[in-house]
Amino acid sequence: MTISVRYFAVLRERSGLERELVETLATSPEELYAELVDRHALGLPLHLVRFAVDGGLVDANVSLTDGSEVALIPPVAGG
Amino acid sequence: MFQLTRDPIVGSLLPEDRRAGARVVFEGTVRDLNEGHRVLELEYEAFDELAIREGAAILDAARERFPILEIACTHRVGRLGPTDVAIRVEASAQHRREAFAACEFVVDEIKRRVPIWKKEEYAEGGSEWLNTQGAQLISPETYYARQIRMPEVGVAGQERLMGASVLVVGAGGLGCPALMYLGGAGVGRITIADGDQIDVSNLHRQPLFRAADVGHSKALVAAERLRSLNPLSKVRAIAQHVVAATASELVATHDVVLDCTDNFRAKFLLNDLCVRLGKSLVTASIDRFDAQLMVIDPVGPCLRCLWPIAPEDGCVGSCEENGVIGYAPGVVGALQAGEALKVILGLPSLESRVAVLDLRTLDVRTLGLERNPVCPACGTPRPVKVEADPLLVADILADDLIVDIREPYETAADPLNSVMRMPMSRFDLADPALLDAPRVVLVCAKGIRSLALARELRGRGWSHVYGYDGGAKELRAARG
Repeated sequence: MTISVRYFAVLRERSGLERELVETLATSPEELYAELVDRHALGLPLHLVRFAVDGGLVDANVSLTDGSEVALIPPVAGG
Repeated sequence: MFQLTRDPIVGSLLPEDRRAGARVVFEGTVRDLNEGHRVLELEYEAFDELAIREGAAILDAARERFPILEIACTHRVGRLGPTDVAIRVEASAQHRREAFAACEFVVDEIKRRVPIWKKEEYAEGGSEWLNTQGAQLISPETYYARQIRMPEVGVAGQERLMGASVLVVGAGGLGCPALMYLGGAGVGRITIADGDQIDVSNLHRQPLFRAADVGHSKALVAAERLRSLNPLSKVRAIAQHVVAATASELVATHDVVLDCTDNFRAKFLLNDLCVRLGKSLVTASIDRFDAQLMVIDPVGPCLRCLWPIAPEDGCVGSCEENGVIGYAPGVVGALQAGEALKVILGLPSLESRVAVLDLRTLDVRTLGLERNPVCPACGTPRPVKVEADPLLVADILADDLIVDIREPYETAADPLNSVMRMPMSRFDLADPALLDAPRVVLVCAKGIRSLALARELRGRGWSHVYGYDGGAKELRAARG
């Protein structure tokens, strides 16, 4: 299926991408992240990334549907 | 020259000057009747370092504005009785007219700008602090007129704001704009906690500060600027970093807390305390153009529902490393003030959602966040106590080896006595002193690097290494 991925903050900087369309067999955000973390050298462990689907933050193991947008949100610390 | 003195003001402030055709002397004296009260005694209190700087700036302005030869002023502080001289201004010039004008200008400006308060003791009993900068001239009805017109505020809302207390932790990029709008809105009591000094590199994004403030305490200067912005608010400064040992009492004595800090340790400490003590927390963070903002109600969801495993400081960089452009924390700090005001006014706020802002594209999302039923902070059952990091110690023992790991440019400006110095950048794992000590306690400026290094050394099997829970300033205070 096709997933639209939106990168925020340090993940956007490390991937060099604001968004991309990913053709994937992943069925959950967790599986999707496992593909992307190596492809883009994202460098953050799974527990430091939250996933937003359809306007809400979701658990990493929810089911994804074809055409979903998944936003990848890392922690931010500056003040 | 501008001076503060605790002693009676006697004699001339200026030397004899053969060029002068006029010397005008003004003396302000204590009168025994003020607004119907019989005054027995009064006490002047100044914020010394800022008063002296403001006073000197006013004299410089007078020299620039008027063709005078010399001008000087001395202001009394401490207890004075009727007829005592509270202030003396002297101006010399070739002709009398400019000497009179300069003298009057200086007296007016000092009353308007210099942070000096007076407390009057009345014959009929009681006393009152009066701000000589003109608090008595400002009425809440006029100051807040524009926002009282808003139906969401009104007179009742304004009274709620004036009765509320807000603790702002961090007076930096987020804290400065947040403080300005909280002060302007008339929050009755504002406390500012920040242990840092103003650095030149802060000025581009911290508009409460000026170039002349560099080197001074952020909390003290910010408090003074807020008092002059709104003399109706009570503003208190705490020139220390918030650490586990002291934060509890601070949080407990305020209605709403703003987290304007730049590190995860402080953010999670404030989150845990606010949840435990039943306080609303407005937390925000920024990384270049990316920001996150949350309003945390004590029943959750909270920051630990978002990040069940707290991120370690350094995992995503800091403003120092990544860079920051001033308006970005300006926007986000202002939003924090806005959310705090909504909480106080009982208006809908951002609770149970995380605002994720991308300021490059102005893509703003508010994402729903579910409460984690087994969250270690807001889940049930509630933990009884907030646990400090086990690698941090607050008490120093007699045979501890304290190692100051700050860099030379930091220790040169602010040295600690009786500690071993070993900058983190040149940390020598083979130094025998480290291996012989029963316990090694690392100290840096805020406790962030010392915790990170302690964790790193633990990973190498050093079981006797700890970080100090605080920074150099807190250690100095703890050692007395």
